[in-house]
Amino acid sequence: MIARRSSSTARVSVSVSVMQLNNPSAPSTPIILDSLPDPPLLDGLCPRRTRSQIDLLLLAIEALDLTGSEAILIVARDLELKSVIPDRVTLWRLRSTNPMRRTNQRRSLSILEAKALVVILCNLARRLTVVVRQLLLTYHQLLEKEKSPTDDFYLAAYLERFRAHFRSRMNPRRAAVLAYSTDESLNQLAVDLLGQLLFCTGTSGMQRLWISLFDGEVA
Amino acid sequence: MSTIQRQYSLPNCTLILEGFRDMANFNPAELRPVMSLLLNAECHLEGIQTPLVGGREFFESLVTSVSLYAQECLSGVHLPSHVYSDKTGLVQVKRVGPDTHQLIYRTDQPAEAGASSAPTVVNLTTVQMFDLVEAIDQFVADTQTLPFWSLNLAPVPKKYAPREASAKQIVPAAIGVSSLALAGAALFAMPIPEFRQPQNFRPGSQPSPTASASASPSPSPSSTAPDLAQLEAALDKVPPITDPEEIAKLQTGLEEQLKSRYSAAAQVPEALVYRVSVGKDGNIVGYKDQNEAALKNSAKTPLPSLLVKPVPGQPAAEAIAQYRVSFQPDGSLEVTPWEAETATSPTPSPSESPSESPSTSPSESPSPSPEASASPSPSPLVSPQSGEVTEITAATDLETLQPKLREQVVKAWTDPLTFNDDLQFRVRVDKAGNILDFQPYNRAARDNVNVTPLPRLSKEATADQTPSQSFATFKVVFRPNGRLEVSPWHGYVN
Repeated sequence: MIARRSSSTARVSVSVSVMQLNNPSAPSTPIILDSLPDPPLLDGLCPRRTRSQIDLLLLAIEALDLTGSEAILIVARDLELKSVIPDRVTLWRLRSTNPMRRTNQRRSLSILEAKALVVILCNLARRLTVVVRQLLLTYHQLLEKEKSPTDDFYLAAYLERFRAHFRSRMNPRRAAVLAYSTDESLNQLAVDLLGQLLFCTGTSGMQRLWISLFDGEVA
Repeated sequence: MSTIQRQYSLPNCTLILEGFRDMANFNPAELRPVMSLLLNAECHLEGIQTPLVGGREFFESLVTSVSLYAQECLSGVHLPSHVYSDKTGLVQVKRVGPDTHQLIYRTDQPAEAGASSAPTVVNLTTVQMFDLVEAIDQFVADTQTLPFWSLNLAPVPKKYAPREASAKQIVPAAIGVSSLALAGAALFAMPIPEFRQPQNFRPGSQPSPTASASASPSPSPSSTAPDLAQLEAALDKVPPITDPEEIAKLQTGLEEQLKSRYSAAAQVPEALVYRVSVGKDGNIVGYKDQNEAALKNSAKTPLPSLLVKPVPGQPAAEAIAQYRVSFQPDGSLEVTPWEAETATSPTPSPSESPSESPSTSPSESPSPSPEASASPSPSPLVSPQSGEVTEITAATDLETLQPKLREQVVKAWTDPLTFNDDLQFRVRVDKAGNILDFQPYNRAARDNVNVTPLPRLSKEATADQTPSQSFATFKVVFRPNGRLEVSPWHGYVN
């Protein structure tokens, strides 16, 4: 018994050290967030579009990966972003800064919080690269054959989950949400988000996404 | 001198760069020497037979356009091409369908044979587009190949981002804008609201209460109805311009200003008469219609466009001169100083309805005691026609009274903090700063009046009774955290 226990502790310690070796860039909070520059905003708070865009991309990830909302928290822990996103409630509150949400928080999102969400988002997107590519290829093939995107089983499943997530969480009385009242418009949004997720997976995807979040918002 | 080749391969795109190694810092032991000079670039794309080939200019243009386009894909905000420095503009990328991105390459040797002069057009799917972006990203991230290249990502400035990016919001936004326009059109015809302070609020403009009570208990309506210009000039606290030369100069300026913009083409049905206030600098700071037609047709006159609105937050302290301006249907106009006008034909003020004074004055005269004389006018805030008691509203007076009141309350406030909501009171003080009375203003204040020092300092006012002397009204708020707030009830009126 004693021997087995000691061997298991040894294995744990080994795996921990391996993880650190494998992840020399993942690291403490400031370093990973420092890879994203501070945008030249006047008030240091994220504009509306930034907040909705981050939340919508996370929503698309949740529609792609059934365990997506769990994964967000796990990645936050793995990337040592616990100081910014300690728990589920905080995550919910940060995402509720999306003005489209039913439970819209009146507070804004700080740049640091937005960076943490973007780092997590790109990390998750990278894990889903294969799925995202496959779905986009399918979508293209369906378009060429002039078929509906819902004709493919996997794509239809993604679109359906996305629509369900969107409708259950967004406030239909908001003008921005009103524009997505039909299935077709929501499907198009879901496909557009897939394309954006693909661009997030690239070598500089995280920087590209981060900078694009402030397009048209800086002086 | 040998060239080196670098290749970046992705499923749908292969980028091959050929160039010279860095001879200055050449290190033969280095396995992968630095490429410092680009000779040739090839971009093989899935779906086209011949690769896109070109020199340094082509590659610079490719990297710039594709990089910016990737950002546009992410944000939906298009950066106009004239903004960034892509001198040659050899490569352009644009979206042509929901899943189709078009890359156009104009070869840089158009003179050559004519066959190659036609631009190459490649349609890419989103995945192919991404592979091209990724190939470029990998090249930029490669420190051994043209290390001075960087992405230089920056957000698109606001001025280049028309709101077309949020095309989905255009319909609701259009509804909003059009309703704003409707409201604007409806409100445009209305005169600029003038702030008119009730006469009694200005202690300076009134005789002292005791004097008026003893001397003339029932003032005649004719004497209490001053002409409008005098009253308003006094109320607005804006000193009138009195220098006749300046008045004449401003009059000429105003006339010229208006004449250049007014003609018979405006088609006014009858003469429009306005009272126009002009600032020292000759700007029109306000105007008011004086007849029915003027109210309806103000949009046909140049006045709305000439009106200079004061900067918010800054008191309009400058002196003004007032003129009577009448626009004639035949295109001519008349400008005369308002003073001269009103001297000949006094205009009774509509706010100063003479019928009210006689109705209240009889009830005042038999009872000279202050409490009784106050009762017929239930609230001095609503119908302040009685000259007996004035409310102090001048900002300078309030500023001196506020600390006095605050000090009294703070000193006396020793009660434990047993309440959870703000306790708001209306407190009136005399001109020496002594508390006259108070009145709970919210429910919590009424319930917790005994844990505040106010009952010890003064008596509670019974329903809206008026104090016997000039007073100032303050809002006093007791906060649950022990803080005290004292502010003028009506704010600082200037």
